[in-house]
Amino acid sequence: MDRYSQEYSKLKMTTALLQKKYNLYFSMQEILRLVVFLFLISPFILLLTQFKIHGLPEFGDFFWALRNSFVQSLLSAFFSIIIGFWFGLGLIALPKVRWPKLRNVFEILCLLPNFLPPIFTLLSALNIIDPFPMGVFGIVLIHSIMNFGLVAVLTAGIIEKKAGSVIELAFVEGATRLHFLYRGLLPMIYKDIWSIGLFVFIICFQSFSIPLIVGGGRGTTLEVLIYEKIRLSGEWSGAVFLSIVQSIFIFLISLSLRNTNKSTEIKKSNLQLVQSPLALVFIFAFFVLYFVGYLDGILSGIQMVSTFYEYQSGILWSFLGSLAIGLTVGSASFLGLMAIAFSWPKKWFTQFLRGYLGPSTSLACFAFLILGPNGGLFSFLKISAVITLLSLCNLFRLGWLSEMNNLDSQIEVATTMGASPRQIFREITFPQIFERAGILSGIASVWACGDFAVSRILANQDLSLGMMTETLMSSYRLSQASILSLLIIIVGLMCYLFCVGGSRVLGRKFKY
Amino acid sequence: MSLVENLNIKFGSFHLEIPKWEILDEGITVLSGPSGSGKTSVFRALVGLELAPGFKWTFQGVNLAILKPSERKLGIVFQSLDLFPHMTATENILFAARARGIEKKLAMMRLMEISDSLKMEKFLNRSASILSGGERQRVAIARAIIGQPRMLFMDEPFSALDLDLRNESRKLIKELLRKEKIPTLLITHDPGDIEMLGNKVSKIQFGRIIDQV
Repeated sequence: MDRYSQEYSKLKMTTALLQKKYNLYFSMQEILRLVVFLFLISPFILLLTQFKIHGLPEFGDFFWALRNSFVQSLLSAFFSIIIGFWFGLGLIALPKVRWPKLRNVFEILCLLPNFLPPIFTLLSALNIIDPFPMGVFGIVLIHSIMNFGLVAVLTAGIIEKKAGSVIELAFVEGATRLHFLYRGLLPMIYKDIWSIGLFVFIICFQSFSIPLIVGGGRGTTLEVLIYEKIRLSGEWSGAVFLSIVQSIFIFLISLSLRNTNKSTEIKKSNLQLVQSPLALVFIFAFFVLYFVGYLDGILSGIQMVSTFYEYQSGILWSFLGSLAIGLTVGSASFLGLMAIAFSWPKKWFTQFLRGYLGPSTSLACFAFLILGPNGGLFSFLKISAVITLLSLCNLFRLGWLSEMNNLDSQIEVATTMGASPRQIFREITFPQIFERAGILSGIASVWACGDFAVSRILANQDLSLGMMTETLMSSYRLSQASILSLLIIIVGLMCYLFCVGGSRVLGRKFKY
Repeated sequence: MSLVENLNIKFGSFHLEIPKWEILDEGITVLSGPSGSGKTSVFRALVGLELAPGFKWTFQGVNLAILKPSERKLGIVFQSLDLFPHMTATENILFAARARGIEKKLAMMRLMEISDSLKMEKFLNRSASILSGGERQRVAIARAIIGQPRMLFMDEPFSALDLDLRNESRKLIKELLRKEKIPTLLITHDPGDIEMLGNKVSKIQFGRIIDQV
């Protein structure tokens, strides 16, 4: 036996003795659960171990930023719900059972502003609305554009699942549209609408990139204030305090969010009483406007394409940088989602994931900024780690939670049969979720390709296309920024296809 | 006889309170009662899916209550059947065999025997997602007994079937359980199940066993 083998067996024996003495038996599931938990709360741990809160920060700034955050989130959620609800009535004019493809096209259109990196919505809006209203109103405008499509898709699904047969009954009995909407539909689904509204409120409250670009001096939100406290005045302890207050505030709001129910089938119903074909026309018109705004920027940019000569080497490196970040985030998110699936279900872990909406973007960035060296490869790794961390929290709510809920009963049955966690994961969980994991991690990789906010804090120079585009946008070169954002679409698509394709390959490879 | 003692659980205002209850260790014990009487709670507690401090369940000298659900070695058929939709009928059944560590050759033999008893040959290779109600039920039962469980638990297994199919299924299952000699606890509120299958009938109401015949 060589020296290394001896050392190894000695170590193994010592570990076994320690385990026996202190009853330290951890299963693979418990370890993964702990790793995911620690990774997600790592920014708080890092900052709390580095900085102690000495006294309270200046409350003037705090209340002003809190008010801005609250007002912009409230208005954004309000407008998203109002427009989204109406657009939802438009979507149900295309029943899934009858026109599945057309309905899918409209749903994708609606979800696009929410799933694309914010830079696209910003470019489109800034191209169309000139002069753009900087400040709270500008933030509300962009947030509403980004979220009402999501609200529309969610609302349409809820109406179809929950109220289909009641709508038919009211229609047959001759109820009027307005009367049924107020007396029948809204009381029936108001809890779900409230829940969606809270969700949008929280997304907007946590938003960092939009207030950073269109907030201006008058629209400073808590997120931006945290950023400024660290970046401009180096007040780390004040920033940590603000961040903790913000996280507690969001956590308290999130407690009132309802749990995602298991998906139920949509039955064929006649929804003529409430559907609104006019809203469908408006959805179409809105997206024509959205794309026209973006295309307008591109067309003007094409005339200036020769000015890109000076940037060509930068563009190439940024393209590769975005690709690297996108692929790393995609792969890491896939692993993260799988780790959650492997550790599922455990009461405390499930409740933590349901209630935890992630740290503030700037807090997460600064926590990783103080961790170890920066620059070069470290910047890439840190950017990828932070985007993965923030994405995982969002992806969990976007679809992973309902995916896991749907498997709960199967996992329960398999456990009572005596199946090991490994067998359950390999034969039950993984085969049913790998495709969805591929799609979700693909979405995270697209977000990563278009990111500029996280990268701006963690890197001193433009490392990715998102950062380059934002630099051009900030210096009012919108046309050039639009042209460059085309490359984000290409690189985003490459990363998305890598994640979706990769997950399918893995699915085939690990077929039991 | 297996003996259940001190099965007490509180679910809000509902109290499940069973100081002592005997379950047959051969044949079929039926636990019957109206909706909301606590049948499924008893089922879940015995399986180990609900925690009940102080609960004791002695089965052939072993206290099953202190074991993990997977170690109790029970065969379970839930009311929703819960087949794995991405697998075929055969794969569903063999999954359970692998979970219990049964050798592949033996598992295949058992599968053939059970499939013969339950008349499953025609749909063994069909995906679980397209099986009919009666077929799904037979696969769920085959899956539950392939691992040679200590005891079989069935929660309203016939509730989703129409009357003719229900009678046919009862006959098939009665015959199978007689052949396999697996003690069974059947949860039901259907008098037809009680009449045709029950060797012992316990009635439950408001969380208490009120009658044992």
